[in-house]
Amino acid sequence: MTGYGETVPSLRAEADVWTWITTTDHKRIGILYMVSAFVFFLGGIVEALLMRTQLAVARNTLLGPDAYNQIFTMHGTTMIFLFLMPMQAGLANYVLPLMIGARDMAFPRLNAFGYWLFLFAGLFMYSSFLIGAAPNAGWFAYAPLTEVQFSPGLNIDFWALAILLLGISSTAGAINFIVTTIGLRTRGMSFNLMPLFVWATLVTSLIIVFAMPSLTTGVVLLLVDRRLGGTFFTPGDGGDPLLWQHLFWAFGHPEVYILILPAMGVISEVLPVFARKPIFGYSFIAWSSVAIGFLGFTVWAHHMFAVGLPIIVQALFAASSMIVAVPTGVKIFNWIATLWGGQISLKTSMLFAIGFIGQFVIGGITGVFLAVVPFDWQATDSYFVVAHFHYVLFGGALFGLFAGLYYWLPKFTGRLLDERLGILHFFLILIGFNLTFFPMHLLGLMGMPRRIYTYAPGLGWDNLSLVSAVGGFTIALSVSVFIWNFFSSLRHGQAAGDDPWDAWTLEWATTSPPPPHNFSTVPIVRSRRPLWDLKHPENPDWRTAQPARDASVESKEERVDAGPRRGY
Amino acid sequence: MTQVLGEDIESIAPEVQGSHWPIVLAIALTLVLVGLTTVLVISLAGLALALVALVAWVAQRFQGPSLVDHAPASVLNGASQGAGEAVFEAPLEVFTIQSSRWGLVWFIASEAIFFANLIAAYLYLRVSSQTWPPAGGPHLDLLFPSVNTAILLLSGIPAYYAHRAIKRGDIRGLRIGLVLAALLGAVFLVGQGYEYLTAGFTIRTNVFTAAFFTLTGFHGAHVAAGIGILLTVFLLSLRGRFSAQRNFAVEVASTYWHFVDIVWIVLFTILYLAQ
Repeated sequence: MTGYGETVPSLRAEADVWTWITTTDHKRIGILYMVSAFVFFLGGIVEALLMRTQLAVARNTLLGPDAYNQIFTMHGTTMIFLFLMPMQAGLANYVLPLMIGARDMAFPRLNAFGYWLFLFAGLFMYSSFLIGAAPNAGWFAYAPLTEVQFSPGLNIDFWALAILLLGISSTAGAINFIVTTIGLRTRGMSFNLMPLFVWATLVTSLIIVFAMPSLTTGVVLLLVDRRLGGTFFTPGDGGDPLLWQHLFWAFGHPEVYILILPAMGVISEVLPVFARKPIFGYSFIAWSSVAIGFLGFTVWAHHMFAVGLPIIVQALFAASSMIVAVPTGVKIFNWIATLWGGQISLKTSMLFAIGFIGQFVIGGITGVFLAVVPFDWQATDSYFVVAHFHYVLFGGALFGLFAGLYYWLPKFTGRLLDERLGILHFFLILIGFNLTFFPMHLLGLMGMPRRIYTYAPGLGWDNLSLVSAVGGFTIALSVSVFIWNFFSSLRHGQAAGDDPWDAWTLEWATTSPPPPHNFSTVPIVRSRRPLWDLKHPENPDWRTAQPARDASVESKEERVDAGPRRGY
Repeated sequence: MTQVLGEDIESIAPEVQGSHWPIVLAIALTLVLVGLTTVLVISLAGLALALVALVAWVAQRFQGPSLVDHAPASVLNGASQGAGEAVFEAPLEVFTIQSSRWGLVWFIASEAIFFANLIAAYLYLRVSSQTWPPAGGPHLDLLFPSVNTAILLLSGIPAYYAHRAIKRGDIRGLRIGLVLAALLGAVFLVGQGYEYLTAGFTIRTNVFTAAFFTLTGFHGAHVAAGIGILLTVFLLSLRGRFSAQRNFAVEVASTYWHFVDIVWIVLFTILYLAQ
């Protein structure tokens, strides 16, 4: 109907390699990010399958200890730095400028630079497999194990150097998102009217800018130790291995929110559209992201309860960790209230969004368990922890990403994905995921440590480990269903049209895929659902009470005219 | 009015459309890493390539006619009209510069947080060790570094002056300020090199010396980068790229230079004065 777009350029017609290499278009960069991240995702899956196969039976000999160390280190590093973060960067890259009615990101070339740096850093890290020296000290690379006297090979150097570049890449991307959100919102779109995905991306980017330097600092000091003979993390001469843990987790815990907040942003877009209701408690969802982002910086030492910090310090960090559950709970209740009484349409995207809520709650609750110091002493470094963070990062972040992909892929490709295959994908991954990770709670409580490459029979771990392996292959099967669905949709998919979900945010106001300049006319925003206003001129949101305190239409219109000057 | 964006939207994009310098810069930085895990020569080649890419990146921004010259008159006049129409309240140049200014703020913020982390790590080590500096650790001499510090702080004045000058349209003052600031910065770097060579300890001596070289080394690298920015802006000024209205690059150079100064004040205090 009354879209802002005009022509429908085909991706295929512009498949000239050089234009992709030199592109500064946020949509193309977004696609590059997502495709590359997905390829790394497949690598991470292969590594996971190797681990699950190795542990499926006791005393398996598929992988030796050294190979196993490399595999689990690369699995964690890949999924966090080379899949989840760049995948979300890709999604936000494509969607965020459209959602705020902008022509592009604020710094298009910096955007391209961030992508290429991520790609090459990832390839550099993976090139370590070629010389059999992949990183092997776990994704949090604890000193002094990573010091040169214990890890003399190049393994850790590959990890540390690649992490440096990835830090630059994600900081560049984050600054770009912040500036774009601050400066390029279309006319009338105050912060209070931004889509919640934009809020989530903004807060995520702020966390990246504030947290990433801690990791960079740790890695720099580690490299000084390894390459120049420093002693930062070696006891004696005044060095301290705990310094690494502080620096790492001062980054590492905010990183958890870097991974989960974008997924929460996706959920906050998907739920209202498929429940046919405006989001419930917009301000609470937006500001709880800010609260989570802030609190995320105050909880890092709960990763270090077993290292002998003073009791009072542990108590404080336990308390702050539990407080994080409050803004998280606020979000959960608002999402449920959004669903309440809605006309729910169970499209694949919606299924993933609902799956997100259920599984994320499980991960959140075990997170509160682990914040309790005595319980943490019991469960730390066991499979219970592995189960916990996979419920958050897989059941949470990944499900949120798939919800976003099923929601926005039609915008990117112009084709709808097949719903039946989508539902098959959803149920396979739901079953596979729970088969893989639920038993890990039990294994952990039965004393199975994480990161062991094999175990003796008769410890009671065999059956559950086998179940976990079966679950792992079910996940792999479900992902191949998704890949099949994606490629077949490109050929045979039903045309999506501008607005297949009858949605309310600006990205659906232009064509699918959008023209290079996104919008032919600069959209004007007067409410949180600008596209609803456009479709229902007789009953626009801004005429009714949203936001509630703007009583009169006149004052609303005044506000728009005096609103933030924005454009291109 | 409605036509403004319909037709001209592609010609008034905020930045250069299409560029191969991002990928070249990314390759260059990756080469630096490859060199560090193989042979060092590759790293040097990577650094050289990175330098070329950075200069070309900046130059690309200054290529061609200014955006202001090409924007439709209605845009420049700050026309802003009713619903559904194109809206610009200010010249496009102002938009991109406001974004760039935010970009500069956040870039410097991220750098500042990095230095804050380095300093926090230093203080953590210092607080948690029994004696400081650790056994055999040096006591740093104060006289020479104080003079050197004075030189660096002094260099902030011409940097400030350069920015003031161009805002008045004084190109000559701009050039003098830039060169003087870069020169004083270079003197500081030479002084720091001299201090390193005559220190009588190395990065391996103990954790204090490791921290000393790491912190001052990273700061020194930032001074070098700052000199690079000052000189780049100087070269652009020779090509007549700045005026009283168009001088954002000068603002970048001078802001960054002040930032590097401030970091040094903190480092000097915790490393030298509070030994």
